[in-house]
Amino acid sequence: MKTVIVACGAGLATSSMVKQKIQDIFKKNGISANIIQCTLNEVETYDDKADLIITTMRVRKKFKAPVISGSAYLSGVNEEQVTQQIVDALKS
Amino acid sequence: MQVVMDVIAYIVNLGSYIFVPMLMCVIGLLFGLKIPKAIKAGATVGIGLVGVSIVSTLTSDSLGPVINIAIERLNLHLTSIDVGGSPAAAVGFGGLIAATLIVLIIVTNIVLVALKLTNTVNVDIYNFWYFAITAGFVNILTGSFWLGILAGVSHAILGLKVADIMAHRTQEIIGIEAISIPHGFAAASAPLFLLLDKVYDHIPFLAHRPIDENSFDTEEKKSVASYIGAIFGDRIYLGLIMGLFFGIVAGYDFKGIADVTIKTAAIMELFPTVVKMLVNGLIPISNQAKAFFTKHFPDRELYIGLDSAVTIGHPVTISVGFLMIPVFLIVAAILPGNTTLPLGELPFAAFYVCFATIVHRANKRRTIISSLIFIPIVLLVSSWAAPLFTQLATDAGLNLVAQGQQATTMALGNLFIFIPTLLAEIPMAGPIILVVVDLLAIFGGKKLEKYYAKEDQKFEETIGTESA
Repeated sequence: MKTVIVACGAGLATSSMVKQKIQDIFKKNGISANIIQCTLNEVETYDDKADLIITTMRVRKKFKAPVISGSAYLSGVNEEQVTQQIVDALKS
Repeated sequence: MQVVMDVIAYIVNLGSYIFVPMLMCVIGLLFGLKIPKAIKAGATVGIGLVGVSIVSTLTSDSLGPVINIAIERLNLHLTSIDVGGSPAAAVGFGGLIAATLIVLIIVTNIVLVALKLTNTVNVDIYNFWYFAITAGFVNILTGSFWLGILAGVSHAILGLKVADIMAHRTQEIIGIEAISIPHGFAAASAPLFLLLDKVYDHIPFLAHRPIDENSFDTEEKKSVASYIGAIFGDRIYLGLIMGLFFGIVAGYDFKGIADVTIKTAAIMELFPTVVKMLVNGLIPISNQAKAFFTKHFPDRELYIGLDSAVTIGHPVTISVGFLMIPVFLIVAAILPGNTTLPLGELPFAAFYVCFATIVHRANKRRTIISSLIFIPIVLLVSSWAAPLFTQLATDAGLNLVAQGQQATTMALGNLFIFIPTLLAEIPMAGPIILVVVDLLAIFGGKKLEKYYAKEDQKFEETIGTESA
């Protein structure tokens, strides 16, 4: 069981959109993961137990867990590429 | 005809959490959702509205009375409580006007894209609540449903055009391709920042310096802003602190103080939590709309219009946003004519500066000064909005505050709500002036787009060679 953080500015609108996409991807790829949705400020508190952090914006702050930008799921540009990155990060 | 009106009146009187899900379900079907999905989407929106109505009893019964006593003791006149953006979204979607508006805004957007008058597609349906508030205000003031719709659509059009004009710079600064921000609040803050930017160009102290990306990391760790942010940027901590403060100032005993402390934290956390349902219910509609645009305009380079939440990660926005939290409180206390007590939107102060960061190309000094100029405007406009918003909330069946208080939110301190509402109120000429403003925005916007494209290009050529 992996732990994945999905974060955006208010932990409300855009992270909900990305979360739904991620859930579908996990289902398709047989990945079982606990998804935590939160604000950008709260990411640090989950960093220790996270296997992957997906944000809806570019973040410059460094975290222990790898960070992938999920903005592709909002704009529709490079969606497959990002999906591959996420699957690779969690299967290894 | 009379029968139809009676049926509509009957359904509306059932309550917003009953008729809004029905309407959302119909809209879902209209946009091609399958029946089970449409039902679930509508129901999810309804669940969000029920949640907001349950949580709002906390604000009206627990928080309202203690704030009344506290501000009287402090000799302040802050009688309009900032309940936060999430319950305001419920108020926006809680009226009959919202459902009509969603359809008409999307249709307007499709027409504008087809005529090549915009490149932005606004599929951020959740944030249509801003447009619905504008429409609701005008409907209250003029009694005209369709004039309200016109004002709401005008707000949306202004948002689309600001998004177009700023698209290039937004993508550059935020680092996400093929997007723009037609968000009802963020876009409304842009015109002021664009004007101020022109003034700053003549002030040497505010000149652009080459940006060192690595400096952001170290700066963020040590600054005052990061300390403020660690506490006030967290909804729960902020709720505890504000609740404790109100309880002590109001002279409650220990039990009373403890009660109001935990309940204030509960309000801060529970409103966004229940509104998440509302967001989830709207996502399928939003996805259908996005699919429509990509299917029917395959060879156009369209920008997907997003929530300003995607811009909040920028280090300048984060640090200036945190700095502005105390500024909001201080300005609210001393600003003549202000009645807004900042509360629900305080942890989200970054949303009030995010477009300044983009317009000023992440120039921190400019962003700070613009934010300081912008905050009094936000507070005065949200104070103006308080009686209208309270009325609108009551109409939607939500009782957000105690006796003697009004509800508002700083998210309503929004010039794209304020100006269209004032224009629509002008007798006779109101609708014509609104249409003229829309046309000016649509065609004048094209010119501004070209102007700023040139400015961006010039900037990128010079910034590398300039010395600090």
